Amino acid sequence: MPVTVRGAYSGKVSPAGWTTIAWPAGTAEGDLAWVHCGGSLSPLGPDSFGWIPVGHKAWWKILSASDLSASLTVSASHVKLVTFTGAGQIGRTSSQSGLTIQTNGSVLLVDGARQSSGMAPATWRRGAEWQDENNWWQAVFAVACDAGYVSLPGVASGTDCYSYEVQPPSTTYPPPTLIEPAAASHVDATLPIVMSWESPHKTTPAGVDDQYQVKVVTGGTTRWVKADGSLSTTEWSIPMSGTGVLSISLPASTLTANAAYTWSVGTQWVSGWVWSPERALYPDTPPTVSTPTVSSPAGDLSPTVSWTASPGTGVITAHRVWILPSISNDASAALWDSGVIQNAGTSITAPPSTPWTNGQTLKAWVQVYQSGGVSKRASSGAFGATFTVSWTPPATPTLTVTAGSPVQVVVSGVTVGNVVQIEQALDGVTWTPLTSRTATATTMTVTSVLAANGTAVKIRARQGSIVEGVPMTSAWSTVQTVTATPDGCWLVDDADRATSLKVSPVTDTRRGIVQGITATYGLGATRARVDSTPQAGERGELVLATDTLVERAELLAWLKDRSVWWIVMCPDDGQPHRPIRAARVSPPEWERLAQTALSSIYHLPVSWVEQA
Amino acid sequence: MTWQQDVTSPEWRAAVTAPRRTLASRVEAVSLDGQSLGDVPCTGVRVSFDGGQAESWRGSFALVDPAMVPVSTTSLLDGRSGTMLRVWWRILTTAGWMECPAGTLIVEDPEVTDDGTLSIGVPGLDVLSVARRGKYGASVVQVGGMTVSAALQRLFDTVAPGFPVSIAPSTATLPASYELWDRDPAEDWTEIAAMAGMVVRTDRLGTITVRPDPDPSAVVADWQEGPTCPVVELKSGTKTSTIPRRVVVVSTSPDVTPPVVGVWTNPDADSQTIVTEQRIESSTVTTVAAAESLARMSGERWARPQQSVQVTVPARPDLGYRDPVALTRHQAGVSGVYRVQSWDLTLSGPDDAPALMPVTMMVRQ
Repeated sequence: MPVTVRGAYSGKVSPAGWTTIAWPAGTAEGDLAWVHCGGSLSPLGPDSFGWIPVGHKAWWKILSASDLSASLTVSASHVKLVTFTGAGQIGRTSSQSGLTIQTNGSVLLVDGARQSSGMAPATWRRGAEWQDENNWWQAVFAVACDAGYVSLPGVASGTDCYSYEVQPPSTTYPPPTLIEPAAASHVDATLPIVMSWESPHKTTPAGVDDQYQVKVVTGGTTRWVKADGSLSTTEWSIPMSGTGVLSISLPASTLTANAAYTWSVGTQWVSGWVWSPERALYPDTPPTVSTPTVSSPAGDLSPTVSWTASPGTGVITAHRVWILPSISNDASAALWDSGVIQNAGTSITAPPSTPWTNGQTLKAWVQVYQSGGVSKRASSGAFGATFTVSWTPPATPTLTVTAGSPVQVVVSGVTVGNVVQIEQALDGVTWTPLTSRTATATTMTVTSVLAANGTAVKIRARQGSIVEGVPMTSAWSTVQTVTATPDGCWLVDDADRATSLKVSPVTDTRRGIVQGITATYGLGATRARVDSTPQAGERGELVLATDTLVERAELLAWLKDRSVWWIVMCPDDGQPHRPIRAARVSPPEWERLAQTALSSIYHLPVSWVEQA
Repeated sequence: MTWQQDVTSPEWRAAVTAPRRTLASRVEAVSLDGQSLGDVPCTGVRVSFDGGQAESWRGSFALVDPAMVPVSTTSLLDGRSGTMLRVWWRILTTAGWMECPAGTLIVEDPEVTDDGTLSIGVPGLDVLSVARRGKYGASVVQVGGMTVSAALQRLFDTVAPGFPVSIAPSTATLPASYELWDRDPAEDWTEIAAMAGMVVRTDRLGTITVRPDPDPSAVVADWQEGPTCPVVELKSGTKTSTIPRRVVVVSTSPDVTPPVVGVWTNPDADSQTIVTEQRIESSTVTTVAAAESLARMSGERWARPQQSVQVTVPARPDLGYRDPVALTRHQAGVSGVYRVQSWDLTLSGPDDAPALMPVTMMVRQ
């Protein structure tokens, strides 16, 4: 139905400002109203909701019953109002006397103004020309028209024009939206092909089917897909229900391999069949790939996988290899995944850093890709041809522990050059590192000050060698338990806890808990409010004595080389103190300043704060 | 639980008002897209919040870790790394530690001092203060006819791409012709947001937000004098010098000749000491009625004495702009519900006493 003018009003507002205007006779709910609020006032527009600004100081709206129940209120010096029936929206606008109309059955609305009268023939004018507050002549014109460039005929020179395209409501129906396969996809012709699309029908009643047609075209030949996926030489509709994603599956080899197809989906609306854009589809013969072979001699941590492949069409472009436990069928469980490698290679070597388990039964998967992206996968385990990665680990060392302060730990049966790792469980439960050192002889002896804490402490050791750049460790030795009485005052390195230094404390002063506290009394309050930070360990000041300047220099060097260390204080009546993991906070210059206050130049003050 | 759930929980409310509180803080580095980059070892933090200012947040951070000295464009403290520092204020509640963000600031231009012991100081900036430095370049941004929300989205996309922005939906539309190109972007976004009755601010998480000013009605803290009063110090000022005897509005628009003038005379100005004359020059006023209306509105706005109140309390950085607080101190002549305008938060290491926090209330008449 074409757009027609229902009625119009225009005129001056005196005094300028808010005014009310009666709707033109016959204006009904669903009509489109256009209003121009002219003059020098701020363009506030109509005083009700939902008006859409458009063009020159103009607004439009599809009128509701509540709009029509009251007059139109606007703020302006002069007003032009036109209502239309059969209109859906205002399309393009221009500041000339015409524009390119997009839809048949539209109306070109021209808002004109001129300093003298006679701006255009009266044929298309709505009402008379009239003079505004500045004595300009004003009028509106409406021209019924179809698509194409349209202008108001016979416009006088010097006329200011603003044009609007008043369009009928949009009546286009949406097509299905294609989802899978993606545009120009290459698919494996030997596998079923699933075609899916999103239904454009959102309001079909329950229990009623919508009609669809799925069309595949190759070399000028069109075929329609039936509900079972077979092809029909005549037009074939499929009734389907559902408002979401719909799909249909073509059995393997339904489409001719290596032919170029297009496919599209149509659906039926009241206006007829509406079709989606066509998408290209290439059902390709997949490549062939041989059963992979694996070379993995004992002691070699980098097995090599080999295969041969030939393309079904095009050329081989890429490959991807997985190595996984032979019992697994999930690529995500792979010990190693090469990723897609863009070349036509026929062998690949896994890196030695792969987390192999000694002697585990493994298999390799090889997937080769041809141009277009269609791929084929083969497994070395298809006929039971599995392989292992294996090596001979270092021997498990033997451990001897002697009580004392410090506890002496002897690890024997180690190979020179291997890394020996020793751990201690000071509470008998939690393993913490004691040291990790490279063996220089077949026996290694270390000491642990922290292990002499009066309780049963467990100690264990193992050794590791480097094979193809990868550390290989032995099993842990038998755990040894030792209970040793603490004795003396020690500093223990935090990084290597087998490194310690016996020291002689003179004073242990200014011990405190690290915590900030603020107490305040509010106005009229009867008790304090206390804000505090959480306790963050202890702090204190230790003065250490040395006998000679050489000893003092040695102690200073030991402290300078280490930022974090442990303080193990002398026991009280054989009862150990808690060892404190501390960092030094006294700056080096204190060593000189502080000594003047002390009796001996051999005394060394150390301020410390506990570390988490 | 999210921090928003934390700060509205009964445990939080009980903990922040308890007579004994255990407090801590942490500083988290976050990228512009909101990804956490881990905590930063700060030894001192100052954050100033003023909800009445266009740039609500300011701050500074102190660090001593040599590893934090910026050495490349990706270093956390380098302004080019796109890193923000988020301050979390933590309190121990009966349900464990809970935390609330006390500002997220962009850090730029760090200063390193090394006198044997290294220290790094870096100022924290409101995201908006960085965004306003961006200009429109050579382009003219057309926002005519767009909704306020869409126009602001386009504005921020142009001047500050990549910054987090949250804009409340608005149906108010801009005039058909509206171009952005030459002005300070901050003036533009303030003006556009005002068309929909909204303001542009940065929230606690460093997101540029566009929405109406908050107007909470529930009293969030009872700071009246008495046995449980936390207020340690209270300052109150009363200002009468701003009361006008007369307000004169003059139009300055070149389209209005001769200029129109509107005058409002204070009907209560019988006191000889009220002598202030306020003069307003407006480019938008075009009629006498509008000029008189503006003069009257402005006159009535300033016709009563202004009372400003600042209190010092144990830290409460969970307080937001315009949060109502009950405040009474008869001796100082202060009584009623005041709204929070600004606060200053100082945080330091675990062995420093938690600092008190000055809170300034919005001016009342």
